[in-house]
Amino acid sequence: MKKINSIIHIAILVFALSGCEKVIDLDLNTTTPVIVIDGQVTNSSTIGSIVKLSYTNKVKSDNSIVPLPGATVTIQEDNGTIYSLPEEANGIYRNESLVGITGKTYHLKVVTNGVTLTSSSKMPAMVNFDSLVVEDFPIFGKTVKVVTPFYNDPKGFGNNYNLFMFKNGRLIKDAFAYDDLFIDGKTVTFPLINSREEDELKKGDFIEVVMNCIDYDNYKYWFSFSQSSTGSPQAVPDNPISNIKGKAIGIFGANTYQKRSVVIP
Amino acid sequence: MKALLLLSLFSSVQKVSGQKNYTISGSIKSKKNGESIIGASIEVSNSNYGTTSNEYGFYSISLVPGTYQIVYSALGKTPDTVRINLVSNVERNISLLEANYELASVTVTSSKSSGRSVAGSQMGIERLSVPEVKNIPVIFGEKDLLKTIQLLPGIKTAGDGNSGIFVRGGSTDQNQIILDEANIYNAAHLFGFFSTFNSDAIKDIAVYKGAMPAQYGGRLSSVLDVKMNEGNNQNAGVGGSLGLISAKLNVEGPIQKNKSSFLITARRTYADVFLKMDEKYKDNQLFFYDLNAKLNYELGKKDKLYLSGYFGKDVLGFNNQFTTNWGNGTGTLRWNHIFNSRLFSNTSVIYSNYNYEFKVKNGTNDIKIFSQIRDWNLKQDYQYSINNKNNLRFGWSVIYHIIRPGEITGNATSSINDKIQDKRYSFENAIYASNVFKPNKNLNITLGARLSGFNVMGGGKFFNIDEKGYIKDTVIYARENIVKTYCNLEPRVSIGYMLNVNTSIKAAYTRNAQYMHQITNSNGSNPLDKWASTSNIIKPQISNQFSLGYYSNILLNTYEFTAEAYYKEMDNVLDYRNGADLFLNETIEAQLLFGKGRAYGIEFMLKKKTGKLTGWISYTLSKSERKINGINNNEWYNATQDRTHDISLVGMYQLSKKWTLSGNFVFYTGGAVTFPSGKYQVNGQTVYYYNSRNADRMPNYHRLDFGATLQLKKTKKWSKELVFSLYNVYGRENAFTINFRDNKDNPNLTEIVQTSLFRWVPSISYNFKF
Repeated sequence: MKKINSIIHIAILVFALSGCEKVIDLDLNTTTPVIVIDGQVTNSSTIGSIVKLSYTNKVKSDNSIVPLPGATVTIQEDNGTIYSLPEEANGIYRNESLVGITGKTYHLKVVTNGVTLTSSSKMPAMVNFDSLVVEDFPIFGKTVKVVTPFYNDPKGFGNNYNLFMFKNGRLIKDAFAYDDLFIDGKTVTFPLINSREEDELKKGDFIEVVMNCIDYDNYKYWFSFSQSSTGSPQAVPDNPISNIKGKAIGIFGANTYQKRSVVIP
Repeated sequence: MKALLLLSLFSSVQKVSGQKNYTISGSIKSKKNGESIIGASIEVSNSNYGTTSNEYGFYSISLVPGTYQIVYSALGKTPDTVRINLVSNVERNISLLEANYELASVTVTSSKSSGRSVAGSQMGIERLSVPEVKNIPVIFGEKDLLKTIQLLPGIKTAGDGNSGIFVRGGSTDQNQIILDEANIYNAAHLFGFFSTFNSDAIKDIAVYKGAMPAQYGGRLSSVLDVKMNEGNNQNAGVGGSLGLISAKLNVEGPIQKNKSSFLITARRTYADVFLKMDEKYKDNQLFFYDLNAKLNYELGKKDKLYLSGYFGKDVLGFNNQFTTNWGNGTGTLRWNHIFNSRLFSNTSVIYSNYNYEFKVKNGTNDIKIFSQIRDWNLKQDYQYSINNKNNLRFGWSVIYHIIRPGEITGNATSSINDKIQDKRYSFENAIYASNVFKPNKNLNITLGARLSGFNVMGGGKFFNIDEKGYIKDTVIYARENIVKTYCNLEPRVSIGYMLNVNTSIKAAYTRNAQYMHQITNSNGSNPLDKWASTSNIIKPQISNQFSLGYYSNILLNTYEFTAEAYYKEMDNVLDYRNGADLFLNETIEAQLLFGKGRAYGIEFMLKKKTGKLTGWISYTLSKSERKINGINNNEWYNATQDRTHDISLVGMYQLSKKWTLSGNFVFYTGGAVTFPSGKYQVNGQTVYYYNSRNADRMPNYHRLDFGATLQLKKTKKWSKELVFSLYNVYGRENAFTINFRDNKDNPNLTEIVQTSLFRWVPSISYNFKF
């Protein structure tokens, strides 16, 4: 449903048949680098728990990460065990033995250069990712293939979902975040529609979809990300709503993890 | 309290001396088609007395007994002088002849009837009529008053080819757009590329940018008062046009000659017909149509009825996957009654409706989103000519608003539960009075006030919301209960002082309260932008505007120079929260933030009014800012509509009897936008980092358009013309959007992509009338 604005947008471009794109250069303001936290605890023993620390970079630089090494990273489970996440690679902190449990709250603490950053996230109940189905989807004079995840939202509000799609092992850059305000107790069958033409699914493509059940703060993060921070925003550009406390941006989530895959016929 | 206030307002009345006055009154019409003339000038020769005709062509002037030469004049009409020996009340109806354009030097344009005028105390007004703008080139060759007014100072376009406007730093929803008194909640067709106003049906448009007279209220930044034609009461006629995009047809004629008439105009685009010819696009829909109809009927010498209506609809659909339609419908019934030569009354019953429907179909999901706003309005207006120094206008208005904020429904196999948000009911009431006082030849004082009130009625769930936008608790109010009442006193004061016969200065202070709000997060016109009424959470928006102006007629009225400066402060302005969900929410109120705004600027305009070459240059220097809790660290930031410089140049040249050439040039500073100041990666995706709101600028906008009109044949019965235009002559690629994305070939790099809409849009249309 977040696509409604983009549909209107596309319609404007279609109507203005002469609408044309060109790559331009602009003078952009730069800011002093800000610390970015990208962390998650999952219930998957293969993924484990990982926290990536980095700095923001200039828009005109390449997309490689500016790592933040040498930090002390710990995650406490409820009021119990404190797990430390040793630095596995430059800026990447990991503890494979920390496998999250549904219903428990995880408290992240990052200490770097005298700065303390914290966040908390409660791992929600896992909703079963039933299946992944390929469907035909007519759009603007042609029919494309889309994949549709099927799952049954349990009765009672408070379930939130975030889905990511991989095509032939490569992440398709889009976020599909849903809360259950309107889908409570229903079988959910929303197709994942790509916004970019080059991501169009072709016969033989191997598609994997990851479904995370997330808490509400994580939902707000990914929903606001999809609206405002993708570089071609539907709404006024802004930073996603972060759940990090302290002078940093980013997201920390205790998410359940399920993956389904399908080959486009 | 109220009574006291009204008394103090009219204290000026009591100062008038007791000599017996008589009244000259009547109506002013066009001889050619019997249309009443708005704003015609009635001047008493060799005196400083004068008045203008009201919106129904009625005038009334009170004078002491004597012999007078009265000069009646109006834009584009030949003036008429009448000698009256006033010993009792006189009724004098006047029909003015068309001015002879072929003798350009004889053409008289009254300074009083044009919008900006040296005389009087009214300021901040622009007025355009269809004949004045018919030669100005516009995109797709579709004459459009809403687009042409964007060439006037202080009125800025919301975007390329867009009919949305920003007036003096205000947002689009702060403009009250009324068509024969009915509110038009969305004045755009096709995302604003066309306005809802079919120029064949429109007589006149007046834009009040400030110093709104007290009979208007309900929006902060402007009033766009659009009046429909009444229909020719002399001869029946058919007219129309064929353009590249749309066709129009209008039929008008007398029901009883000289007394009553009707007018029906219809318009439809036919781009979809071409779409259907292509196999690929045959399942797509893209069109709009609209219909204007008006009927007027004289019940007797003192009573006249007007019935007018508008209905328009846009339909847009792609392969039955998405279909959306939206439209306005309005109806106005008015009764003019002349109590006596001094007291004119109008009673109006007005209905207005706007709704949209959006359907999405994918897989097993058939989902429909619906929203609607409806108004029932009863209005009473009195105009009373007290004596030759005082003219009083007073009245009241009651509007009943019914909003269906959002209704989402799905079919049995869809993934969503139906959700019907509770209807919102409210009353918007006002009483007003305003007196124009002319103590002497040079001074003109308008003192007025509007007392407005708003009752939020029960009939559903009302919410309390915490600072993060989460619902704290819910209270249910019964239909008959008042949830909350707001009241605002809106003073309207303006003073005009003539320095000499050609020059004047004016000053004004105006307060406005706005009870209906539209929240938008797009730049242009999005039909799905929602209207929300003031509630327990949304407070009325309030503005205070101070303005100062200088007006001068130069070289025997050939040129007119005006300058106006303004400062406007606004309270309780709205914006969306970051991450707001516009459609799937419990209530729109949880998605909003509130704050204040300020806008200031200076507007210059030099106009050449007569001769073969006519036109104007306008320049606006301005600033508009917002400060909203929760945005930009609660610091002031540039409003989206903030543009430092705005220049328009318009020229029309009568080359020969057959050819009229025209051109316009516009330049404005790019709008305030937010570009990223950094980027980073989260979960393998590029995320852009934003530091401060609207601190960046789109590239400057500029464009040149040409137009030419060829008069093919003109007899008494027939008139045919061809209108050519070229929009964006030098093909400037003006930025519509600027996006940041990973480069397709090298996703490790970011590219900045500018999308522009219109380069070289040629058009041709054929107009006929018989």
